[in-house]
Amino acid sequence: MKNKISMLQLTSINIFIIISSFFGIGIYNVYNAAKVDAWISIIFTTILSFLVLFIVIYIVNYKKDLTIGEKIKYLYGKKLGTFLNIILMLFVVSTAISLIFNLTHFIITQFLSETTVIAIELIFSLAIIYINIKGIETISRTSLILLFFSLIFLLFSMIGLLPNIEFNNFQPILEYGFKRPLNGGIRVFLLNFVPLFLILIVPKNQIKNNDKYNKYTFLAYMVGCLIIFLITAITLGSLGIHLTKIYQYPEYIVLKRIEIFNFIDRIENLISMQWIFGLFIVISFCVYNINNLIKPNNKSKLLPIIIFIIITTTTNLIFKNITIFNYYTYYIAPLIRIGFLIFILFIAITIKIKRSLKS
Amino acid sequence: MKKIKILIVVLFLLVVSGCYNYRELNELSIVSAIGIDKDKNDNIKVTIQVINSKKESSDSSQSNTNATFITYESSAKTIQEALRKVVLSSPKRFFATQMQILVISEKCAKDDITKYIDFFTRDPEIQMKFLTLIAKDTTANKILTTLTPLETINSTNIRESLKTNTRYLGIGYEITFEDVINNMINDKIEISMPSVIIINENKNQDSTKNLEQVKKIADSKISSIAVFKNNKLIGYLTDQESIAYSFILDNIENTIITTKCASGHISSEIIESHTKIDTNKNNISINISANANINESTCETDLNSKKDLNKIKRSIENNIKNNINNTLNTVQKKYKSDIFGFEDLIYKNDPKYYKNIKNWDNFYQNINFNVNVDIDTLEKGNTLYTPERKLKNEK
Amino acid sequence: MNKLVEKLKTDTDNMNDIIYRKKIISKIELYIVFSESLTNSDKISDFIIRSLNKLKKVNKKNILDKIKNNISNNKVQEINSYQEICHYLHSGFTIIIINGIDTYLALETKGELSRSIDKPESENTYRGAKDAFTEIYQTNIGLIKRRIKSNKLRIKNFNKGNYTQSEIGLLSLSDKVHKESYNNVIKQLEKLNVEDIVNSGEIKNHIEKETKSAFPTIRTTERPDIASLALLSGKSVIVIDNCPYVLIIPACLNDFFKTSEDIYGKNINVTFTRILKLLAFFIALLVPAIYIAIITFNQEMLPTDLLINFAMQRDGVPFPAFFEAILMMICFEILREGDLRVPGFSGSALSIVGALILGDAAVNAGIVSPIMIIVIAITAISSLLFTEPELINALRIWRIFFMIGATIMGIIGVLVVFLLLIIHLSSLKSFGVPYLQPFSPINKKELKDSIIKVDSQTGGQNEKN
Repeated sequence: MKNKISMLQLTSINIFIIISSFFGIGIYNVYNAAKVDAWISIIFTTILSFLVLFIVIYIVNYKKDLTIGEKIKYLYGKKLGTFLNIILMLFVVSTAISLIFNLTHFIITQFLSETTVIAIELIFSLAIIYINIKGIETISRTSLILLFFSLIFLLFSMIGLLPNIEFNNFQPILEYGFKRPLNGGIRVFLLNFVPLFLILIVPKNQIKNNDKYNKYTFLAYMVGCLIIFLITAITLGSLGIHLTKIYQYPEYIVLKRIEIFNFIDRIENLISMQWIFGLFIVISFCVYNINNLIKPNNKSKLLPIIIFIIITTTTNLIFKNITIFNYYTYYIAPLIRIGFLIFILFIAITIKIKRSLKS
Repeated sequence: MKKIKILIVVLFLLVVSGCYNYRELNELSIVSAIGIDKDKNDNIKVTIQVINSKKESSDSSQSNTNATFITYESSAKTIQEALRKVVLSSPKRFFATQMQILVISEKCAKDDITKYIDFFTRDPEIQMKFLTLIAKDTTANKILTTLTPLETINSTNIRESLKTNTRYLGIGYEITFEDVINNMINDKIEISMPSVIIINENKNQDSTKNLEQVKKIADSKISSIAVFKNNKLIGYLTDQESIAYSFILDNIENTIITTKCASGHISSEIIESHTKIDTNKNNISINISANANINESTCETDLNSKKDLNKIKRSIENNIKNNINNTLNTVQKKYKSDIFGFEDLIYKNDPKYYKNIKNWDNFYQNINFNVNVDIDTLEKGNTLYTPERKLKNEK
Repeated sequence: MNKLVEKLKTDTDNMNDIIYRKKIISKIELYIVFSESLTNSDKISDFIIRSLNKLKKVNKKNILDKIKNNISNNKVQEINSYQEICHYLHSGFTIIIINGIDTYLALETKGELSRSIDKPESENTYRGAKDAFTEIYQTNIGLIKRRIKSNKLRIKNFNKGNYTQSEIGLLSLSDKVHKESYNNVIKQLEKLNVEDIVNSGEIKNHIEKETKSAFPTIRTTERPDIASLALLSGKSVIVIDNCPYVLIIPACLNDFFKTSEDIYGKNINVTFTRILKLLAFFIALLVPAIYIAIITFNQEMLPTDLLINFAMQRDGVPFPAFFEAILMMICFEILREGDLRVPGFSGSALSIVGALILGDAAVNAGIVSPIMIIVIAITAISSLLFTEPELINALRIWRIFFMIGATIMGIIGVLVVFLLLIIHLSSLKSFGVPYLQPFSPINKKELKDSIIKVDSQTGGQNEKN
C-alpha cells in the first residue's frame, strides 16, 4: 500500500465519528429518553460500547490488506458479496443523510435563516468533494488538524461554562429507576458508537505503526466517551432539564452563556465550529466509504461528486422539516443501527467460522 | 475538463450569489428594546426602540443634544403583525439580536403573560439573553420613550441600573428572558421578575427639554420584584421584601442592612452571602452565612469590645432573619405563590415524598420555615473606634 | 598560425575582449588566450608570463610538464577538446595552446567581479551572524563550509543551461539528510531541462512539484547561518552560481515561522514570539474576512456598544463592505509594490501619499469607514512579519478567497474556505514531506521545536547526541 496514514490520524477520525453524531441527534435522543438522568445514560453507553470495540478490532485483524468491502467479497463470493456490500452502503448512506441534514439545519436555524438548503449544501460540497478527490491521506491529516481546533474550542467552552453549572439541575437522580437511563444509553450506543464500523474501510496494513491499533482505538473510544459525557453533563448542569428539552441544539444554546471576564461573550458562533468540523469530517468519510465500496482505490474525480449529489438529494427528499427528522432519529434510526450491528456481527461470526474451519 | 470546471464555478456563483442573508450594516436599524402594552381595543400595542446610528454632522466637538434613539409603535392582534406594520414607516430592516430589554406593562402581565412572549421564543434571530421587566404603574411605551440623563439610550440605562442594583443593593436581580421561559415551563416554580417605574413624570419626558433641567428630571428607576401566580401578575413585594427575596435565592452580592441601637443606628454592608436551603418533609430550613462590614455607626457602642461586636452581629442577624421571615409569610399567606421554587426543591431533594403530595397549594400553606442567619466575620473599616467614642476615652 | 586559434577567432567573430598573445619559448610557438573582462591582468602577467619567461631547456616533448611544474598559478587543468576550451575561457581561465600538442592547459586567473560579503538585507537579525551570500558560487559554498567543518558535507554538482552554463550545487550532510526528499531533489535536478538559469527562482519553479499551490514548498535564504542550520537539521541546500539566495529543501509551513534568533533566544521567549507569529498568520488571513462576515451577515456576534459604533462609522459609506475592503487592499498592495521598486529618495513622498491621502482623506471623504483602515492596516502589518515573499503572496491570495467566502455566506463561508485551506495544506507535500509536518502527521522530534519550543538544543537537531 502506498498511502500510509498514522495511527493517531485514524484515532482522530474515530473520535470525530463518535462525537459528531451526538450533536443534534444523540443529545435529542438521550434527553428525551433519559431526561434528568441523561448523564447516567452515557455511563451505560460506555460499558455497552466495548462490544463495538471488540468487533472492530476482531474484523480488522482478519485479512489485514483488505478493506471491509473486499473482505465481504472474499468471504461470501462475488454475487452475495456484492449484495451485502450494497446493504452496507445503504447503512453508510443512512448515516450520511442524517448528518447532512443535521449540518444544514443547524446552519440554517442558527446562522443563515434566509438561505436555502441547496446553497449551503453546495458550498459544503466544495470542501467535501475536494477532500475526497485528494484521498484518504488528506482526509486523515485534515482530521487530525481539525481535532486540535475542536479540542481547543471544547476546552474553552468547558472552562467558560463551569461557573454556570448548578448541581441542583442534576436532581432528582434515578427517580424512575434504571429503565430510562438504560433506554437513553442504548440509544446513544446505537447512534454514536455503531457508526464506528465506518473505520473498517481502512485496512490495517495501510496504517503506519499498526501494532498499536488496539491501544489507539481504545484511546479514541475513551476520549469520545469522555467528551460526550462532559457535553451531556455540562449542558444539563447549566441549562436545566426544562430548557434543554425545548431546544433542538441545547449544546449550542448553552454556549451563549459563556461569558469570560464579563467581556468575551457572544462567541458561540466561533466555538460551535467544533461541531461543524466534526460533521464535515464524518460526512467526508462517509463519502469516502461509499466511494471505496463501489470501487476500491478509485482515482476518478467524478465518483465522489455523483455520490455526494445523490446523498444530498436523498436528504432533501426525505427530511422536509425538523419534525420528520426528529421522528426519524428517535424511532427509525436506532432500528436501522440495530440492523447494522447485526450485519456486522454476522460478518464477524462468519470470520470466526472460517478461521475455525481452517484450523 | 477545463470547460467543465469553469462551468461548475459559474453555476456555483449563480446559485450562491443571491446572498440570501446578506445585509449591510447600513441597512439595519438596531432594536435595543421592545415594549408591550394593551391598547383600548384589547389589541397588542408594540413599542420598538431603535438606535439611531446616523453619523452626526461634521463637527464632532459640538456635543449633540439629539436623542440617539427613536421609538416606533403600532397595534395589532399579534406582535408579529404589529412589527410588520411598523416596517411601513421604517426605511431600514429591524434587527433584534442586540435587544437588551423587554418591558411588559402591568396590564398585560395581569392578563396572562404567556400570551405575549411566545413570539420571542420562536424567532431565531432573537437571543434570549435580554432582560425582562414589568412596567409598574405605567405603560411600557412611557418607559421606553423617557429620555434619561446619564445614558443616551434609555434601555441601556435600565439594563445598567439593574446590574448595579443587583451588585450593590439586591432589590431585584437580572432575570433574563431565558429564566422567565424556564420558570414558565417548569410548573413547579412561579414566575417573578423585577419591575421598573418612572419617577418625576412630566410632560416633557420624551424630549430633550427633560434633560435640560437639573431638578426633577423624569427618569426610569428599578423597582421591586413582581410576583406572579399561574402566569398572572398578582402584586409586588416591597423593597425590603425584595432584598429578602434575593437573600433566599442566593442572589445577594452586596447589600446594606441598617440596625437600630440605643442611641443611634449602625449601617453595615453584607458581603459574600451564601444561602443553603434544606428540605425535610414540610420543614424548610434556610441557612444564610455571610460576612459584614460596619460602614457607619452612630451608636455609643465600643467597637473594640468583643461583647459589643457580638451584640451588633446578633442584631444584624436578627434583622435579616426577621426580614426573611416576614417576606416568606407575605408570599406564602398573602400571595400564595411559590416564587422561590420550594415545590421544585422538594421534588428534587425527595421525589418519593413529593409523590404523596396531592394538592400543592394546600401543602404550601403548611410549610414551616426555619431561618438561620450567621454572620461569620465583622469588619470595621479603617477606624478602630467611633471618633466620638475615642475622644471620650482619652479624657 | 594555429588552427585552433583561427577557429576561436572566427567563432567569436574576432571579439576584442579575447586576447591572443603569441609567445615563443625555445622556438616553440604557444598562445596565451584569455578573456580580458573576466580575468585579472596582474595574475596573468605576474604568474603566467613571468614563469613562462623563466623556462629553459624545453623541447616539444617536455614542454607540457615543464610548464605545469614551473607555473606559479594555483589551479592548472589539462583539457583536450575545443568545447572545454570555450567553457574555461568563458569562466575566466587563461588557456595556453601549444603548437602541435593536443593537450591544452587552463589556468585559473579569475578577476574579482563581485562585491564583498555584505550584510543581509531582507532577513535581519538582532544577534545572528551578519554575513550574507554573494553572487559567487565558490564564496557561497565557502561561507557554508566555514560553518560546517566535516567530511560528511557532500556537494553534488550539476551544470545546467545552454548559454549560461550555470553551476548548481546540491549540499547535504550525508548522515543527517532526509533521504526521501534528497532523492526527490536529485531526480528533479537531473530531469531539469531549461534553456538558461540566471536566478535561483527559476530553478525553484522548475523543481517544485506543487506548482498549483500558492504556498512555497522551498525556502529561500540569503543567510549562511540559516542554510547551515538547515543542513544540520537534515535538509538539503541548493546553491546556484550568480545568485545570492540559496534554496532550502524541503520546507514545511512550520519552517517559515522560524527565524535564526530562535537558536539564541530563551525557550519561553521564543515560544512567545512564535505564538505571536502564528497569531499574525491567522490575522493576515482572516481579519478582513471576519470583518466582512460580521458587518454583512453575523451582526449578532458583536457586543451592542461595538455594533452601534460600527454602524455609526459605516453610515454614509456608499460601497459594500467587500468592495471597500478590496479597494483598500489594492491600495496597500500598490503602495508596497511601489515601495519595493522606488529609489530611496522618493520613498518619503510615497509614504506621505500613502498615509495621508489614502488613509485620512479617504475616511474624511466618506469613501471608506475608519474601522476598515484599521482592519487593513493590522492585516498588512501582520503579513509583513514573514520574510519569505512567496508566503506573503500566498497569504494575500488566500485572504481574498476568505473575503469572497465571507461575502457569500458570512462566517459559514469563512469556515468553508478555512476547511478548504486546511485540506489544501494537508494535501501538499514538499519533496515527499507532508507540508503540515510536525502537526499532522505528528512528528515528536520536530514538535519540540514547533510553536512551543522545549528543546534547549539547537532546535532538536542534535537528537543523536
